[in-house]
Amino acid sequence: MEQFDLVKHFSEDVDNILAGDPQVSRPELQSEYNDLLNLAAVLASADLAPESQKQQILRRQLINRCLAKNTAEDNKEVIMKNFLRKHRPAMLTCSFAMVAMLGFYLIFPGVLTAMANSIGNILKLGPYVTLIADDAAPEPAPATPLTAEQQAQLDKNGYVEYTDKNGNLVLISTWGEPPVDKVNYSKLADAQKGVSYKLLVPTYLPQGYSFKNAECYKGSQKYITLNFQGPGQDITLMQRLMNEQTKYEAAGEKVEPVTINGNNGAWVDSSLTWGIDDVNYILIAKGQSKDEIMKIAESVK
Amino acid sequence: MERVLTMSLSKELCLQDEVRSYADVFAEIFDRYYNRIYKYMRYRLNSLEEAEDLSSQVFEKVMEKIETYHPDRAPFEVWLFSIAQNTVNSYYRRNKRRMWFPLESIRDLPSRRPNPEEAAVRDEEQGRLLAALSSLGERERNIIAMKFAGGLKNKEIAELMGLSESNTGVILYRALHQLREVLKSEE
Repeated sequence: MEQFDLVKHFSEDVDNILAGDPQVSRPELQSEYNDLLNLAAVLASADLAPESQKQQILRRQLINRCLAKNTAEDNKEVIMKNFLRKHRPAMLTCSFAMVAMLGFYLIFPGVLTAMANSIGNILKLGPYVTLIADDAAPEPAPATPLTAEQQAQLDKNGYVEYTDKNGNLVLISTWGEPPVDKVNYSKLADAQKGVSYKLLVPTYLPQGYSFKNAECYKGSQKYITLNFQGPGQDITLMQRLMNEQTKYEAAGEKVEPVTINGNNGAWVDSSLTWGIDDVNYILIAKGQSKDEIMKIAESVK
Repeated sequence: MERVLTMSLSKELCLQDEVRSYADVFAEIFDRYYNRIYKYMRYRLNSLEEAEDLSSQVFEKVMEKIETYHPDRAPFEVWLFSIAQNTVNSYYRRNKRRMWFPLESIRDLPSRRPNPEEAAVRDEEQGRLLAALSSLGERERNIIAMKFAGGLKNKEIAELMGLSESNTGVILYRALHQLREVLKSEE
């Protein structure tokens, strides 16, 4: 066979292998030719993906950046996520093992029901809320200042990722820092204007507590934070309309499932979160007992 | 603008729902192509870390340059792998050095990932294969990566590399022949 024909046949056979025909063989040709086809099959079928352990974290980073750059509205979504992260700083530090677990959930997101689905250290409240018990790394380790190179990367890309001395992958991002137009309501009766869904409020508060203010983002209609003041620390009730854009993950040292008026929820350390229909609620009442917090939550109507 | 872009990409990628956001479309692109891009990088680069870094850069560029993609000019895969190729080429230009594995080291190349026993043999074979690839010239290695990681046709590879289609086929054939010789010498 002329070399031109040989190469032509070979190219066709390789394309057949790539198209999924594993039995390409030309017995009329020398064994060397068939050896090359076997080698082509090995090259085509080699699965190298499992060795790439950063895949899921890259995915999250890039999609977050994608959301962040889309529109001003999307920037606000990220800002709210970061606001939540402030309450769950462990989000910033995650081990590779945890990333692997998250990867599992990204691949198999589970049934889209409002039922809580608890497997191992991850608890899902419906399709949009993922809670992670991360007692191995409860707090980020910001003690080590960023190097000049890391700071430059943070300035340039809006995020920096590095492995700390304990082998944990650390993510620091500046997303959400741009100023946004906040809307402040001093009267509870006006707060409904800030969201598109029915605003629920607690009908029970510990003695001495009363409505302080409500905060939301101009034009968003998805998030609202109700603050209540009293003799102790402020009590905060955050509400958000849940969808693909507003979904979030939060981490705490301990995550325990609970039921609130028949709705699935969870304690994430001392905060309580639950969902009613399409809205997610997070109640933060530092200094209050769990029973008292539960009582407030059950009064949200 | 974004809506039009999202719709054209959705159509190009045969996504079912044409009104999804760009973030959704990007997630689909990442899920669909990450493994292939990463494999392309591994076939062209000698280290796992470099392959991950450059794969990440490719998707960052996709995000930044997506508005320059025109479905009527080239299939999305060809556009994507042209970015991958440019990313590696830029990387080599910046570093101006190549890390060649001496052939003697191929036999002893350890698996990079801790694995169950049943996967160990496969990983060792892959390790030998990757090390053997490093003995090829840059052009040969790129064509093999385009072909077996990218799944591109010879014609598409030829366009990306500025070669004729027939020449691409010849180089591919000879590259595999050379690769086989390297692997055989280790048996």
